[in-house]
Amino acid sequence: MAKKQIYAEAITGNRLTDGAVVYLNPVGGWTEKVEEAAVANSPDERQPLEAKANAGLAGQLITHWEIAEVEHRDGKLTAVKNKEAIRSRGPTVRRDLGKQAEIYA
Amino acid sequence: MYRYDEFDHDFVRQRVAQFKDQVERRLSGDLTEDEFKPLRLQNGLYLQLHAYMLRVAVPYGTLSSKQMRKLAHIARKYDKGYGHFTTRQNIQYNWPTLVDTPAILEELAEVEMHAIQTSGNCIRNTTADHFAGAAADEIEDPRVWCEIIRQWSTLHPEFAFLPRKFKIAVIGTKEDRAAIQVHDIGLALVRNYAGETGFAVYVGGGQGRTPMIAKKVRDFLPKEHLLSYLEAILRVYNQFGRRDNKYKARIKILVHETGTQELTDAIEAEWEEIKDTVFTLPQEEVDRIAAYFEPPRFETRPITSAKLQADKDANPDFADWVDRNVAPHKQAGYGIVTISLKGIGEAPGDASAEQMDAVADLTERYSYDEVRVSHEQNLVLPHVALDDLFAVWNGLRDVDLATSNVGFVTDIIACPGLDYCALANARSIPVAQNISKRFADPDRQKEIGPLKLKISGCINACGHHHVGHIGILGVDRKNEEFYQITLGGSADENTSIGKIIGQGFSSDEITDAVENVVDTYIDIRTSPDESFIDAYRRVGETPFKERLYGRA
Ligand code: SF4
Repeated sequence: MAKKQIYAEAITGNRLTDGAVVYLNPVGGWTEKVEEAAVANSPDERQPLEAKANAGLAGQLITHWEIAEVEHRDGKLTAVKNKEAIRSRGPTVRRDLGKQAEIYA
Repeated sequence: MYRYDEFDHDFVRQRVAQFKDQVERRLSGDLTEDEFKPLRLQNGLYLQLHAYMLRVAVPYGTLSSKQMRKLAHIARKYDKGYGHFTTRQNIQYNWPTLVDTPAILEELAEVEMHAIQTSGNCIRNTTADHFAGAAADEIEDPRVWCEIIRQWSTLHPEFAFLPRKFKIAVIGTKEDRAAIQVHDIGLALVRNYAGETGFAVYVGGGQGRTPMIAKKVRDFLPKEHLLSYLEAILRVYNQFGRRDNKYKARIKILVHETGTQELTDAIEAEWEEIKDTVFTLPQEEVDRIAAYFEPPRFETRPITSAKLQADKDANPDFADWVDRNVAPHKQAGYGIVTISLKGIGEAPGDASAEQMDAVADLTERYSYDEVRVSHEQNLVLPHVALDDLFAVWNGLRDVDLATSNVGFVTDIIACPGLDYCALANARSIPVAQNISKRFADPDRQKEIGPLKLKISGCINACGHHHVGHIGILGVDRKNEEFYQITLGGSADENTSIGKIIGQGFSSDEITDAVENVVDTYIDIRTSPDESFIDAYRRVGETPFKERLYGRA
């Protein structure tokens, strides 16, 4: 059998008040940094995270949530999918502004 | 310029108040996201990749200085200091918060602007030639008819839930600067043999995943029947248009599946029933609206300007800009200025608050208080005296808006792509920026001549890639961005859909590939007078393919 990719998922959403991209952190809060996301390494680990995410929905903190594949790259937690990676870092243009200014500094 | 009447004022203010209340109810949890989403979309508020995005309508692309200043103010106060002008003649803000949006809409309402009908399956903002009311060869100002269409279609109960969104564009000249043949309905003002003006009517054009050129369903429609005819088209569409499949719901599919003749017959039959009813436009009403679009009180000026000539002689950069960015005006002694929002290496269509303010000042001082947004993502000062061109150019230079590249390879259309758009598969802006930098040399651009390059970040084709002489479509292949090149598209009076030339290119390869296409054209053209599109139409894709992929 082919070697399975290591299972690692984070939960992401957009903050209701300003639409900012946020990730669920281990204590049930929402962080703008994917590096600080809580990671589920198995479906079992995902369940409690989903419960916390639903609490975020019920508390009107986020617009919705979804699963994002993540991986450790160069010792840092990053999104696997290109789109999610851009989503997590901000636009790759206008690097003088916003979140991307720090990341691409 | 058109001013809101009481109805418009009340209506827009009511909508803002309603939305304010809806936002509060969303924040408190009285409304769920599912309940709230259609409400926010009705007010132009999308959720994009990184944030909310507010799309503000600029009806037929026309703004006053006061409105432009308001757009600048909103960019500064509620956003990150810039806005993005789109191929739909609208402006989009990339970073508004939900909490601020009611205040933004209130501010917009102060200058008779709003974000209604910028989303959803309704009749969207009617677009027009950005040279309307100024073009030297114009039969009539198309914006009068855009405004009539706007009033008719705003909140038309029957058309609030169409099978899909619906776009109408109107022009008043032979030369098509508004891409009418890739709209659901395209209207061109024409004269018949008796010298009367009316409309040539095109139906079923569109881009997206199934690009189609509109079919002409009528050579001449008397003007008073415009609304009854549109009503007939929309009724036929509403009745027969597919609702089972989102991708097959546009009227272009109906035209394609039914056949032009059959559909024309259905429209004509429907029209016969309603043409002499309430939809007939009373002349007084047309005159009332037309009065808002009366040309400004131009001064009597000589056809040529000695001052302009002297300024050109003394400043070669200015002379270049005039040659490239200024078009002939119907009034002697005036010109139409296109302000390029395509500075070398910049994001196409983006303008900073400072730039918008500067444009507003120039609008007020030199262009009879009118400025336009073009579907090619540039701004236009429609009525500038030739004597004033040098002052305008200097004003634009102060804010880095004096790039002389209109219609050249660096005057690129690009959608927001994966840098902003939640639907995107690949980035558009960096591709545009790299190509722009590669062709930065003004002499090289001049040598290449007119060339329309258009980039979309997904098959929705907001960046009009299907109708670019060179089109670029971003795709995702195994988690990597790739770019497909199409050649031979065009969005003018000789509209054509570009053809995919072969396999896509990676983001590292795409600039070279475009350069190869351009170099091939330079090699094969019969003379510098043969434009890219003419050369392509003469020789076809083969030499381009060979250069890109080898002979194989
Ligand atoms: S073409 Fe696609 S990526 Fe570009 S703005 Fe439209 S939907 Fe977004």
